Amino acid sequence: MPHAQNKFIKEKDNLWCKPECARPDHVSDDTEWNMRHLSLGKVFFDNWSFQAPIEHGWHAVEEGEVSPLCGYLFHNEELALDVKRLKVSEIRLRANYLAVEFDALSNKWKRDTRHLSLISKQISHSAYLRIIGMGEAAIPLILKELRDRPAHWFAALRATANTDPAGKDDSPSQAREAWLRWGISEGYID
Amino acid sequence: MAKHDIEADFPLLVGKQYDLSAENFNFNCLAFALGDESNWWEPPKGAGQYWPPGFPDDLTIPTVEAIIRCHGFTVEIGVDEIPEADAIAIYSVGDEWSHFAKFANDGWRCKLGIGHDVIGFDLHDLETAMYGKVVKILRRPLPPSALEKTP
Repeated sequence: MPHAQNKFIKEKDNLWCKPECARPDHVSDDTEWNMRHLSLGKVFFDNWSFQAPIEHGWHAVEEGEVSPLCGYLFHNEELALDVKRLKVSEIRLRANYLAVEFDALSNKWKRDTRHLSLISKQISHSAYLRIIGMGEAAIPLILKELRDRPAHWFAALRATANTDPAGKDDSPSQAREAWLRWGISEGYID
Repeated sequence: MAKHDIEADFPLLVGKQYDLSAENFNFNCLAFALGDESNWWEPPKGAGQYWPPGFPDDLTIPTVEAIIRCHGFTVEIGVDEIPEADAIAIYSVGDEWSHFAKFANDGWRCKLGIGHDVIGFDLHDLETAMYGKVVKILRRPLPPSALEKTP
Protein backbone atom coordinates (compact mmCIF):
# COMPACT_ATOMS: atom_id res chain seq x y z
CA MET A 1 0.00 0.00 0.00
CA PRO A 2 1.44 3.44 -0.82
CA HIS A 3 2.22 6.00 1.83
CA ALA A 4 -0.69 8.31 2.14
CA GLN A 5 0.39 10.99 4.53
CA ASN A 6 1.17 14.50 3.43
CA LYS A 7 0.17 14.08 -0.15
CA PHE A 8 -2.24 12.53 -2.54
CA ILE A 9 -1.13 9.21 -3.85
CA LYS A 10 -2.12 7.92 -7.20
CA GLU A 11 -2.15 4.16 -7.40
CA LYS A 12 -3.35 2.64 -10.61
CA ASP A 13 -6.37 4.79 -11.43
CA ASN A 14 -7.27 5.57 -7.87
CA LEU A 15 -6.41 8.67 -5.97
CA TRP A 16 -6.01 8.21 -2.25
CA CYS A 17 -6.89 11.20 -0.16
CA LYS A 18 -4.91 13.01 2.41
CA PRO A 19 -4.91 12.47 6.15
CA GLU A 20 -3.95 15.51 8.10
CA CYS A 21 -2.20 14.15 11.12
CA ALA A 22 1.26 12.74 11.38
CA ARG A 23 1.93 9.11 11.95
CA PRO A 24 2.15 8.36 15.67
CA ASP A 25 5.66 7.57 16.86
CA HIS A 26 4.70 4.15 18.15
CA VAL A 27 3.41 3.07 14.76
CA SER A 28 6.42 2.13 12.73
CA ASP A 29 4.81 0.43 9.82
CA ASP A 30 3.47 2.62 7.05
CA THR A 31 1.08 -0.01 5.83
CA GLU A 32 -0.48 -0.38 9.24
CA TRP A 33 -0.76 3.36 9.60
CA ASN A 34 -2.39 3.74 6.25
CA MET A 35 -4.80 0.95 7.00
CA ARG A 36 -5.79 2.59 10.23
CA HIS A 37 -6.33 5.93 8.60
CA LEU A 38 -7.74 5.00 5.27
CA SER A 39 -9.61 1.80 5.72
CA LEU A 40 -12.11 2.78 8.36
CA GLY A 41 -14.20 4.92 6.10
CA LYS A 42 -17.75 3.95 5.48
CA VAL A 43 -19.68 4.79 2.41
CA PHE A 44 -23.04 6.42 2.71
CA PHE A 45 -24.58 6.60 -0.69
CA ASP A 46 -22.18 8.68 -2.77
CA ASN A 47 -20.59 10.43 0.17
CA TRP A 48 -17.78 9.45 2.41
CA SER A 49 -17.43 9.84 6.08
CA PHE A 50 -14.39 8.90 8.04
CA GLN A 51 -13.95 7.38 11.45
CA ALA A 52 -10.81 8.47 13.15
CA PRO A 53 -8.45 5.77 14.33
CA ILE A 54 -8.82 4.06 17.64
CA GLU A 55 -6.12 5.98 19.42
CA HIS A 56 -8.02 9.19 18.74
CA GLY A 57 -11.35 7.74 19.73
CA TRP A 58 -14.06 7.04 17.24
CA HIS A 59 -15.05 10.28 15.66
CA ALA A 60 -17.37 10.44 12.73
CA VAL A 61 -16.64 13.18 10.28
CA GLU A 62 -19.07 14.56 7.80
CA GLU A 63 -18.27 14.95 4.19
CA GLY A 64 -15.57 17.49 3.65
CA GLU A 65 -14.90 18.06 7.33
CA VAL A 66 -11.58 17.59 9.02
CA SER A 67 -11.39 15.85 12.35
CA PRO A 68 -9.55 17.62 15.14
CA LEU A 69 -6.88 15.00 15.35
CA CYS A 70 -6.89 13.14 12.15
CA GLY A 71 -7.47 13.32 8.51
CA TYR A 72 -10.53 13.14 6.43
CA LEU A 73 -11.96 11.36 3.54
CA PHE A 74 -14.24 13.27 1.32
CA HIS A 75 -16.39 12.79 -1.65
CA ASN A 76 -15.23 14.49 -4.75
CA GLU A 77 -16.30 13.65 -8.19
CA GLU A 78 -12.77 14.13 -9.36
CA LEU A 79 -11.50 11.49 -7.03
CA ALA A 80 -12.08 7.88 -7.88
CA LEU A 81 -11.87 6.17 -4.54
CA ASP A 82 -11.51 2.45 -4.64
CA VAL A 83 -14.42 1.42 -2.46
CA LYS A 84 -13.70 -2.25 -2.80
CA ARG A 85 -10.09 -1.91 -1.78
CA LEU A 86 -11.00 0.16 1.23
CA LYS A 87 -13.55 -2.41 2.25
CA VAL A 88 -10.99 -5.21 2.03
CA SER A 89 -8.52 -3.13 4.03
CA GLU A 90 -11.15 -2.68 6.71
CA ILE A 91 -11.75 -6.44 6.75
CA ARG A 92 -8.03 -7.09 7.11
CA LEU A 93 -7.90 -4.66 10.00
CA ARG A 94 -10.78 -6.41 11.73
CA ALA A 95 -9.09 -9.74 11.06
CA ASN A 96 -6.08 -8.57 13.04
CA TYR A 97 -8.25 -8.23 16.11
CA LEU A 98 -9.67 -11.74 15.65
CA ALA A 99 -6.37 -13.49 14.95
CA VAL A 100 -5.81 -14.87 18.45
CA GLU A 101 -9.32 -16.26 18.75
CA PHE A 102 -9.10 -17.65 15.23
CA ASP A 103 -5.85 -19.46 15.97
CA ALA A 104 -7.34 -21.06 19.07
CA LEU A 105 -10.46 -22.17 17.19
CA SER A 106 -8.47 -23.40 14.23
CA ASN A 107 -6.17 -25.45 16.43
CA LYS A 108 -9.09 -26.96 18.31
CA TRP A 109 -10.89 -27.80 15.07
CA LYS A 110 -7.86 -29.53 13.62
CA ARG A 111 -7.11 -31.37 16.83
CA ASP A 112 -10.66 -32.67 17.19
CA THR A 113 -11.35 -33.55 13.55
CA ARG A 114 -7.95 -34.50 12.15
CA HIS A 115 -8.82 -38.18 11.86
CA LEU A 116 -12.34 -37.88 10.51
CA SER A 117 -12.77 -39.34 7.04
CA LEU A 118 -15.60 -37.03 6.03
CA ILE A 119 -15.43 -33.31 5.38
CA SER A 120 -19.15 -33.09 6.14
CA LYS A 121 -18.38 -34.18 9.71
CA GLN A 122 -15.24 -32.06 10.03
CA ILE A 123 -17.05 -28.84 9.14
CA SER A 124 -19.91 -29.40 11.54
CA HIS A 125 -17.51 -28.95 14.48
CA SER A 126 -18.44 -26.06 16.75
CA ALA A 127 -15.07 -24.31 16.31
CA TYR A 128 -15.43 -24.37 12.54
CA LEU A 129 -18.93 -22.96 12.80
CA ARG A 130 -17.70 -20.25 15.14
CA ILE A 131 -15.09 -19.26 12.57
CA ILE A 132 -17.80 -19.02 9.93
CA GLY A 133 -19.68 -16.84 12.39
CA MET A 134 -16.82 -14.35 12.31
CA GLY A 135 -18.04 -13.41 8.86
CA GLU A 136 -15.97 -11.51 6.35
CA ALA A 137 -13.29 -10.70 8.90
CA ALA A 138 -12.32 -14.36 8.94
CA ILE A 139 -11.51 -14.44 5.22
CA PRO A 140 -7.89 -13.21 5.47
CA LEU A 141 -7.26 -15.50 8.43
CA ILE A 142 -8.70 -18.56 6.71
CA LEU A 143 -6.76 -17.86 3.54
CA LYS A 144 -3.50 -17.56 5.45
CA GLU A 145 -4.24 -20.79 7.26
CA LEU A 146 -5.11 -22.52 3.99
CA ARG A 147 -1.86 -21.25 2.52
CA ASP A 148 0.35 -22.28 5.43
CA ARG A 149 -1.37 -25.41 6.77
CA PRO A 150 -3.65 -26.87 4.10
CA ALA A 151 -6.95 -28.25 5.32
CA HIS A 152 -10.56 -28.24 4.22
CA TRP A 153 -11.38 -24.58 4.66
CA PHE A 154 -13.40 -24.37 1.47
CA ALA A 155 -16.82 -24.51 3.10
CA ALA A 156 -15.87 -21.73 5.50
CA LEU A 157 -14.53 -19.62 2.65
CA ARG A 158 -17.66 -20.16 0.57
CA ALA A 159 -19.79 -19.14 3.53
CA THR A 160 -17.83 -16.03 4.51
CA ALA A 161 -16.84 -14.79 1.05
CA ASN A 162 -20.11 -15.75 -0.64
CA THR A 163 -18.31 -16.91 -3.75
CA ASP A 164 -16.45 -19.96 -5.00
CA PRO A 165 -13.50 -19.47 -7.32
CA ALA A 166 -12.78 -23.22 -7.38
CA GLY A 167 -14.15 -25.43 -10.11
CA LYS A 168 -16.52 -28.25 -9.27
CA ASP A 169 -14.01 -30.78 -10.56
CA ASP A 170 -11.08 -29.36 -8.62
CA SER A 171 -9.09 -31.58 -6.30
CA PRO A 172 -8.35 -30.15 -2.85
CA SER A 173 -4.99 -28.84 -4.06
CA GLN A 174 -6.53 -27.23 -7.10
CA ALA A 175 -9.29 -25.70 -5.00
CA ARG A 176 -6.66 -24.38 -2.59
CA GLU A 177 -4.72 -22.78 -5.41
CA ALA A 178 -7.89 -21.21 -6.82
CA TRP A 179 -8.81 -19.73 -3.44
CA LEU A 180 -5.31 -18.39 -2.82
CA ARG A 181 -5.24 -16.77 -6.27
CA TRP A 182 -8.61 -15.22 -5.52
CA GLY A 183 -7.46 -14.01 -2.10
CA ILE A 184 -4.42 -12.32 -3.57
CA SER A 185 -6.33 -10.73 -6.42
CA GLU A 186 -8.98 -9.41 -4.03
CA GLY A 187 -6.37 -8.08 -1.62
CA TYR A 188 -7.21 -10.34 1.33
CA ILE A 189 -3.70 -11.76 1.48
CA ASP A 190 -0.39 -10.63 0.04
CA MET B 1 1.58 -35.03 13.83
CA ALA B 2 3.47 -37.30 16.15
CA LYS B 3 2.56 -40.84 17.14
CA HIS B 4 1.32 -39.72 20.52
CA ASP B 5 -1.27 -37.51 18.80
CA ILE B 6 -2.53 -40.50 16.85
CA GLU B 7 -2.47 -42.74 19.89
CA ALA B 8 -4.57 -40.18 21.77
CA ASP B 9 -7.40 -41.01 19.37
CA PHE B 10 -6.48 -44.68 18.90
CA PRO B 11 -5.15 -45.96 22.20
CA LEU B 12 -4.95 -49.56 20.95
CA LEU B 13 -1.98 -48.47 18.83
CA VAL B 14 0.09 -47.71 21.92
CA GLY B 15 3.06 -50.02 22.03
CA LYS B 16 2.44 -51.37 18.52
CA GLN B 17 4.97 -51.27 15.71
CA TYR B 18 3.60 -49.16 12.90
CA ASP B 19 4.90 -46.55 10.49
CA LEU B 20 3.60 -43.14 9.44
CA SER B 21 3.92 -41.34 6.14
CA ALA B 22 3.59 -37.61 5.45
CA GLU B 23 0.32 -35.75 5.96
CA ASN B 24 -1.69 -34.93 2.87
CA PHE B 25 -5.07 -33.21 2.79
CA ASN B 26 -5.74 -34.17 -0.82
CA PHE B 27 -7.20 -37.59 -0.23
CA ASN B 28 -9.04 -39.53 2.42
CA CYS B 29 -9.11 -43.15 3.48
CA LEU B 30 -11.52 -44.28 0.75
CA ALA B 31 -9.38 -42.68 -1.94
CA PHE B 32 -6.28 -44.25 -0.42
CA ALA B 33 -7.90 -47.67 -0.34
CA LEU B 34 -8.85 -47.34 -4.01
CA GLY B 35 -5.39 -46.12 -5.01
CA ASP B 36 -6.30 -42.50 -5.76
CA GLU B 37 -4.07 -40.06 -3.89
CA SER B 38 -5.34 -36.97 -5.72
CA ASN B 39 -8.96 -36.79 -4.65
CA TRP B 40 -11.05 -36.73 -1.51
CA TRP B 41 -13.79 -39.32 -2.08
CA GLU B 42 -16.97 -38.13 -0.41
CA PRO B 43 -20.43 -37.32 -1.70
CA PRO B 44 -21.58 -35.02 -3.15
CA LYS B 45 -19.11 -34.25 -5.90
CA GLY B 46 -17.96 -30.63 -5.84
CA ALA B 47 -14.91 -28.44 -5.41
CA GLY B 48 -12.44 -30.40 -3.32
CA GLN B 49 -14.60 -33.54 -3.22
CA TYR B 50 -14.93 -36.39 -5.66
CA TRP B 51 -17.70 -38.92 -5.97
CA PRO B 52 -17.97 -41.30 -8.91
CA PRO B 53 -20.83 -40.71 -11.33
CA GLY B 54 -23.74 -43.10 -11.29
CA PHE B 55 -23.74 -43.77 -7.55
CA PRO B 56 -26.13 -42.30 -4.99
CA ASP B 57 -24.87 -39.33 -2.96
CA ASP B 58 -25.03 -41.17 0.32
CA LEU B 59 -22.75 -42.77 2.89
CA THR B 60 -24.48 -46.12 3.08
CA ILE B 61 -22.56 -49.38 3.08
CA PRO B 62 -24.34 -50.78 -0.02
CA THR B 63 -23.38 -47.72 -2.07
CA VAL B 64 -19.73 -47.74 -1.12
CA GLU B 65 -19.59 -51.52 -1.42
CA ALA B 66 -20.80 -51.18 -5.02
CA ILE B 67 -18.04 -48.64 -5.69
CA ILE B 68 -15.39 -50.88 -4.16
CA ARG B 69 -16.63 -53.89 -6.15
CA CYS B 70 -16.32 -51.80 -9.33
CA HIS B 71 -12.63 -51.52 -8.53
CA GLY B 72 -12.21 -55.26 -8.51
CA PHE B 73 -12.67 -56.10 -4.84
CA THR B 74 -15.46 -58.56 -5.39
CA VAL B 75 -14.97 -61.35 -2.87
CA GLU B 76 -16.34 -60.91 0.63
CA ILE B 77 -14.48 -62.59 3.47
CA GLY B 78 -14.96 -62.69 7.22
CA VAL B 79 -13.95 -59.65 9.24
CA ASP B 80 -11.41 -61.68 11.19
CA GLU B 81 -9.87 -63.44 8.20
CA ILE B 82 -6.46 -62.55 6.87
CA PRO B 83 -6.97 -61.76 3.18
CA GLU B 84 -5.17 -63.89 0.64
CA ALA B 85 -5.08 -60.96 -1.81
CA ASP B 86 -5.38 -57.17 -1.76
CA ALA B 87 -8.47 -56.20 0.19
CA ILE B 88 -10.43 -53.28 1.60
CA ALA B 89 -12.00 -53.23 5.04
CA ILE B 90 -15.02 -51.03 5.68
CA TYR B 91 -15.55 -49.47 9.10
CA SER B 92 -18.98 -48.26 10.02
CA VAL B 93 -20.77 -46.24 12.67
CA GLY B 94 -24.46 -46.98 12.50
CA ASP B 95 -25.59 -47.31 8.90
CA GLU B 96 -22.85 -45.11 7.44
CA TRP B 97 -19.25 -45.81 6.55
CA SER B 98 -16.68 -44.04 8.65
CA HIS B 99 -13.31 -45.36 7.54
CA PHE B 100 -11.48 -47.77 5.23
CA ALA B 101 -8.26 -49.75 5.44
CA LYS B 102 -6.41 -51.48 2.65
CA PHE B 103 -4.64 -54.84 2.83
CA ALA B 104 -1.60 -55.03 0.57
CA ASN B 105 1.86 -56.54 0.82
CA ASP B 106 0.78 -58.70 3.75
CA GLY B 107 -0.26 -55.81 5.95
CA TRP B 108 -3.06 -53.35 6.68
CA ARG B 109 -2.59 -49.68 5.94
CA CYS B 110 -4.88 -46.66 5.87
CA LYS B 111 -5.14 -42.90 5.78
CA LEU B 112 -6.29 -41.13 8.93
CA GLY B 113 -8.42 -38.13 7.98
CA ILE B 114 -6.26 -35.34 6.55
CA GLY B 115 -3.32 -36.80 8.43
CA HIS B 116 -0.86 -39.59 7.95
CA ASP B 117 -0.99 -42.94 6.28
CA VAL B 118 -0.58 -45.62 8.92
CA ILE B 119 1.09 -48.86 7.92
CA GLY B 120 1.27 -52.11 9.82
CA PHE B 121 -1.57 -52.16 12.32
CA ASP B 122 -4.29 -54.59 13.24
CA LEU B 123 -7.77 -53.76 11.92
CA HIS B 124 -9.22 -53.78 15.41
CA ASP B 125 -6.66 -51.23 16.63
CA LEU B 126 -8.72 -48.52 14.94
CA GLU B 127 -12.09 -49.61 16.27
CA THR B 128 -13.07 -46.59 18.31
CA ALA B 129 -16.14 -44.42 18.73
CA MET B 130 -14.88 -42.38 15.78
CA TYR B 131 -14.58 -45.25 13.31
CA GLY B 132 -16.90 -47.81 14.84
CA LYS B 133 -16.38 -51.43 13.84
CA VAL B 134 -15.13 -53.30 10.80
CA VAL B 135 -18.31 -54.50 9.13
CA LYS B 136 -17.08 -55.92 5.84
CA ILE B 137 -13.92 -56.96 4.03
CA LEU B 138 -13.81 -57.26 0.28
CA ARG B 139 -10.78 -58.73 -1.48
CA ARG B 140 -9.71 -59.18 -5.04
CA PRO B 141 -10.30 -62.64 -6.56
CA LEU B 142 -7.37 -64.96 -6.34
CA PRO B 143 -5.48 -65.56 -9.57
CA PRO B 144 -6.08 -68.98 -11.18
CA SER B 145 -2.59 -70.12 -10.19
CA ALA B 146 -3.42 -69.55 -6.52
CA LEU B 147 -6.70 -71.40 -6.82
CA GLU B 148 -4.92 -74.45 -8.21
CA LYS B 149 -2.76 -74.61 -5.07
CA THR B 150 -5.77 -74.49 -2.79
CA PRO B 151 -6.43 -77.99 -1.40
